[in-house]
Amino acid sequence: MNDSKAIARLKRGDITALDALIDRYQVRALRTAFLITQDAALAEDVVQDAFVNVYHSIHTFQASRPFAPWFMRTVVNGALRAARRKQAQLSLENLADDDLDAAEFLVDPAPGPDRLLETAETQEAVWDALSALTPERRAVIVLRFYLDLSEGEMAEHLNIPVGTVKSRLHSAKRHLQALLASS
Amino acid sequence: MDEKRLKHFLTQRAEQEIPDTMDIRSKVHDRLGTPAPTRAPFFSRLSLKWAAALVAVLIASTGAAYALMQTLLQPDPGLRTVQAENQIVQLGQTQSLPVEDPLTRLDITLDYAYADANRIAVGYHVTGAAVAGTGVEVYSNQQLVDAQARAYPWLPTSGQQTTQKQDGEEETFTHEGLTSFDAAALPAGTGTLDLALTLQVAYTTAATRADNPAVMGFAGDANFSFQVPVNPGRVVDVRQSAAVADLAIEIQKVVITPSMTRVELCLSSAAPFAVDAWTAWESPVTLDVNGERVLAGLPSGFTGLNGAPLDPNATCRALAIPDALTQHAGDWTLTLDGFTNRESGQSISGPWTFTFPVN
Repeated sequence: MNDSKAIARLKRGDITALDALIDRYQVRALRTAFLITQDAALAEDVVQDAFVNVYHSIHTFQASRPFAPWFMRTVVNGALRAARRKQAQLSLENLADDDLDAAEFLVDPAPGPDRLLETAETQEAVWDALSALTPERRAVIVLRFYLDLSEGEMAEHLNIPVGTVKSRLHSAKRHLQALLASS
Repeated sequence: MDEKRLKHFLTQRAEQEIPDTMDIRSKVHDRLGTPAPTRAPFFSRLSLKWAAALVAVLIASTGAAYALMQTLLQPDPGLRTVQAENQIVQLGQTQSLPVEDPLTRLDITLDYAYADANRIAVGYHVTGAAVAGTGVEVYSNQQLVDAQARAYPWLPTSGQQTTQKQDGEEETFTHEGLTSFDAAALPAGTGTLDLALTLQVAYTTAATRADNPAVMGFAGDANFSFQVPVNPGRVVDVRQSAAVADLAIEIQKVVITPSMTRVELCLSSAAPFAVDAWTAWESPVTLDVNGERVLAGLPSGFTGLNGAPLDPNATCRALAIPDALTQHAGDWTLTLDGFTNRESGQSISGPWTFTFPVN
């Protein structure tokens, strides 16, 4: 069953069609939410919420539009909200990116992050660096480098202008470079 | 930056944590309060729309059909009024479905129907019997079309529930359902509707639930044809604007029917509402009629016009007020107190106040 058929059936109240959409999108959605929240349980909550939202609001979905971007936009924004809540609950922010020395951003650190990815003692260093980014910056990294979205698509997902995406992506990469260099 | 390496890292990390085999279907169904459709070979897969608003299974010590229906009506003041004023059409059509072990009887009855320019509602019940201790739980799905093959979308104010009663060596069960459909697409002047309702019935037992909670047995379809008069309600041509800050709202018309009230309006801009959770905007509504307070802060929500889905960028849309206001003729002062998005927490401050006569 393709997306169009599944959506048409779901609009008619056939809940088995929801299962077709879950089967098709759950893993990609869970992995995206996990990378943004960095918490598997939280990611599962986010994606469950997104599918429940699909069921309740499918009547508002225009069948002429592709389903995947609409759905993934819900997932990304849900993950962002969850990540923000999680971050707000953390009492220690030793690696908060806003606390980084401004001088670290004036020049590109060397070696570059590509080499650092190779030479990092463990992948945990990269994971920790991603953790130290704000949820918004982590989200643009995930959208660009995991989901392979264009800047225009990212703007649609995040409901922000393309210019803001460019700026946020640039800033996120610079922060990531600095964090990896200092680790 | 080496994008390939970063992508590789992200992919690898995500795959470590979320395996390809991960399946959240049953958890989503749990959240919806609906059993997951079966994949077991001994049971048919179901095409059921499980009413998400209210699905309950009760163990009753006495026959409690009346109480059940009151429970279903509780969150729906409009339909409560319709029933209290006896505006429903009693139908009492019963069909028996062929059954096999463990069921010994299954009868489906379409009890009543109601239609107005805002919604069509049907009430029905399923009764049956099985060997004592079977623990039957019944689920039902509804599809409604008219003689012009127009299908009516389901409204989320519907519900269904089952009671069981052990009586000696027999278990009897009753399943009650109340379903509403959006009638906004009905042509003006429709006097009587010829409708065809399909009720799909499925069930679980204590044994199947213990074995696999997601498994259901499909009992069959019951098909009913009936006629119901349409209450056109009252259409008030308002065409009045009010503005707060940069947002102007023009009410085009108000459709007041016995079961609910629909306010059709146009916004000067849909942009503030076209957020990620665009279906989650609510506006508390306050209504004074001839200077007396009738409603205070009753939550109302947006729907599309003419039964269509709500488009996030649509400037013209409808606001559904889930209460019966037909008895309130006079000078209306209708106030939209503001808008709050129940998912994102965003808000748009009001109020927008409109004053118009309803005769």
